[in-house]
Amino acid sequence: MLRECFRVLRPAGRLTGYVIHTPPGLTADEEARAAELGPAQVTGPADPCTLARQAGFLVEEAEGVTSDFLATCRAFLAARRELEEDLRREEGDAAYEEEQAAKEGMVQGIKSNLLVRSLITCTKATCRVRGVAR
Amino acid sequence: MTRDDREFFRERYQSDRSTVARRIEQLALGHEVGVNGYTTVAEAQKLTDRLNPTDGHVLLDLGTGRGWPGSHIARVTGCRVIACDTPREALSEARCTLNHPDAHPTCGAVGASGLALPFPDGTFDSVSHADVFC
Repeated sequence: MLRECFRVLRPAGRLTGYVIHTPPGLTADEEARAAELGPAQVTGPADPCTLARQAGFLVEEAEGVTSDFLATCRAFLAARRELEEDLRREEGDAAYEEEQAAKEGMVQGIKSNLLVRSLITCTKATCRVRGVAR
Repeated sequence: MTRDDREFFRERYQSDRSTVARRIEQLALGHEVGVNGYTTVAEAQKLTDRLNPTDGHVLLDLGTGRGWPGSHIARVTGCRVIACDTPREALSEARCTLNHPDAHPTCGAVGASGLALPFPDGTFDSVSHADVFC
């Protein structure tokens, strides 16, 4: 997907976006736990900056936004609790509890430093160093 | 994205959003466009600031779902946004959110996978995404 972004960007074009991923240095068990707690797309220990570089991008900035991510997840939980009666009526008890458990798991994963979120900005650099696009 | 993931998003976007779902999104994220992610209005604005689109700028919003955060960038900057995602069920809503007086009149939505984007090389000035490359 990153290689496709690189291809469709003009030279010096910019790729910017939020990525939920695991921090470096987790054990295999911790990676597995993070995959359980995080969104379905959190599948492995790959560092998003490394992946972007491998696709040919120059990484300009990687800003940690995990505290905002935690606040948003907590806000979802609080909103769902506030509207619990309506949600149970709409989703059914089992679906409500399943979704609530998933959101609580996400909060737990962030608080346990198993999940982080970053805002990563990359450029399709036009210069080449030793024949390799940076 | 696995087949299960695609099914998950297809089912998620097939259903109409209820009043309760809209209220939860408004409470947690400060907007209600029907996202499956965690990007608040403030974070969408941060993306906009990073990209800083100018007149004539063409932006690809990858994994847009119902048009977030691309619709925010389109309205705030007036640049041309092409929203792209696989669940076609979401794209009609994405087109609606992009059809706004403050947005460029040629904004649009395209159903395609990020693994095989249907655009020629060098089409876009920038690419935005939110929680797509987990």
